[in-house]
Amino acid sequence: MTPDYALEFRGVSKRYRRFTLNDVSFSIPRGYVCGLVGPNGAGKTTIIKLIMNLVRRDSGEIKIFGLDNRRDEVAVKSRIGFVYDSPGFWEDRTLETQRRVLGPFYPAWNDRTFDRLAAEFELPMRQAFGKLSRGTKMKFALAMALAHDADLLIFDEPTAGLDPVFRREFLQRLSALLQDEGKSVLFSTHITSDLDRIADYITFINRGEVACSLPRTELLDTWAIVRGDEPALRGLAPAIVRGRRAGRFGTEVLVSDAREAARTAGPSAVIDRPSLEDVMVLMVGEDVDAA
Amino acid sequence: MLRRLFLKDVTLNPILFWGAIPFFIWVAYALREDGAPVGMLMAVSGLMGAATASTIAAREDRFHATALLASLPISRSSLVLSRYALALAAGVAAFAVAAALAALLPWSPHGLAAIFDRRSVTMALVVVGMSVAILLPAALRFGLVGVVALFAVLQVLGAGLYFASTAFGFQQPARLVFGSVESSLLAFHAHLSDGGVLALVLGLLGALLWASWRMSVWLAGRRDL
Repeated sequence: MTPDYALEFRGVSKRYRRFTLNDVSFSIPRGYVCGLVGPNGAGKTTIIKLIMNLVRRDSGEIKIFGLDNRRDEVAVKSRIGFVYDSPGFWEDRTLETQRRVLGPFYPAWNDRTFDRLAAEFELPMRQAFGKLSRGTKMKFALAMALAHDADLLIFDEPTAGLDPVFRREFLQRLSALLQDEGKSVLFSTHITSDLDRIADYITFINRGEVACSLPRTELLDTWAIVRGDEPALRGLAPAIVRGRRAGRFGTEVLVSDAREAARTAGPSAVIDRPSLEDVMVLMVGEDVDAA
Repeated sequence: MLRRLFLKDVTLNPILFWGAIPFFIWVAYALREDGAPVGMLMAVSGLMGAATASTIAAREDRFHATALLASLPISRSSLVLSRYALALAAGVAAFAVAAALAALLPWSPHGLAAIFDRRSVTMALVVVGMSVAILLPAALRFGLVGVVALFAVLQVLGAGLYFASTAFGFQQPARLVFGSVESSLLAFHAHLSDGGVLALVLGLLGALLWASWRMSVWLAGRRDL
């Protein structure tokens, strides 16, 4: 275990009656942004709840800055800022009251930082939380997460349900805040375009398992989509095929080695660079084993 | 940390305490009669205060605040301890308000001796302590559903006791249960002084609360939020 990682998941499993998170392993180097991507119900929120010790893992190990997230729970949580899909603040209390009451739980809470962020986000501090729009609620949650100098920020679907204009503004502000801070971030989303500008690493979750976890540049530079008819795709080595989807105008195959695909695919095949959305859609479309 | 959690509960959930005002208006009204059971009214006030504070956990479940709280740098055992402290404090505070009403309202005929009668105070302490010890594990583990289910279970147990006892020929099962408790206490009292009985009751209550707190810590630690 090296403390150079902000977050390490090793063989973590959690079994529910109708869903199992199975043997999940991935890590985030300190100071990097990791996008946790997957369709709804893939297990992203369960992973975040496991990190925050909101649910108990059945097996495996979770380390945050080298500390066990259960044994060193208080020390670990004082270094984490979080924004949940359902923020969980008190609906009938004003933002000012909640900031005054909840902020001091953090040893490094900084009123001046919060005030700066509140002014920047134009937060209506005298209004009850329940009366705010979803976008403003998320901005308040973000200000609370950033005002105690957290080393690891965890965002669980923060942009879900936001309109496109607000979503863009939220991401721009987040991106600007993260740029010079050197924070480690885990950003869970099913909207892959959220990660286009900010993620350094991508971890894909599908059906409770890690489908892949690697640097975003490696994913976008070395992976490829090969389009063509069946004869043109027949030569692709099964070892590099990561997903497949058959459509009306042919078949799309996601491969993890663009050079190898160019060498082995038929001449009529078309090879493109994938977007994160392509990767997610094709991975969810069919299992590698079945391809 | 405990003080901060206590402050958090009181500041963020005041609506629960405002909700006690109609209850105390009723207490004030009920105190006007000379024969009003002042000790019982104060015990019921304590019960109301403790039960109201015990349901804060259930209220916070409704808007996911439990998950937010559990994400703050606080251990779950501290969270649980703060709930017990708040519920007991609310029970004692409600008892104190009822006692103040009985002592200060111009139409209350009750003297200080009747209000602070040792038996009344002991009864109030037992009622507050037992309600906290029983309610909180259910509220902390299962939220509002747990509290409602607990009352449902108590109802079913009561009905079961009634049918079982009438089947065996007892006509007044409640009297049977409380009568046996009373006779046990009287038996103790016959061998102990008043102070000894009070010490025994407080000791048993403390043990019950400690066991309930340990169980709540265990249950809360196993709860998936």
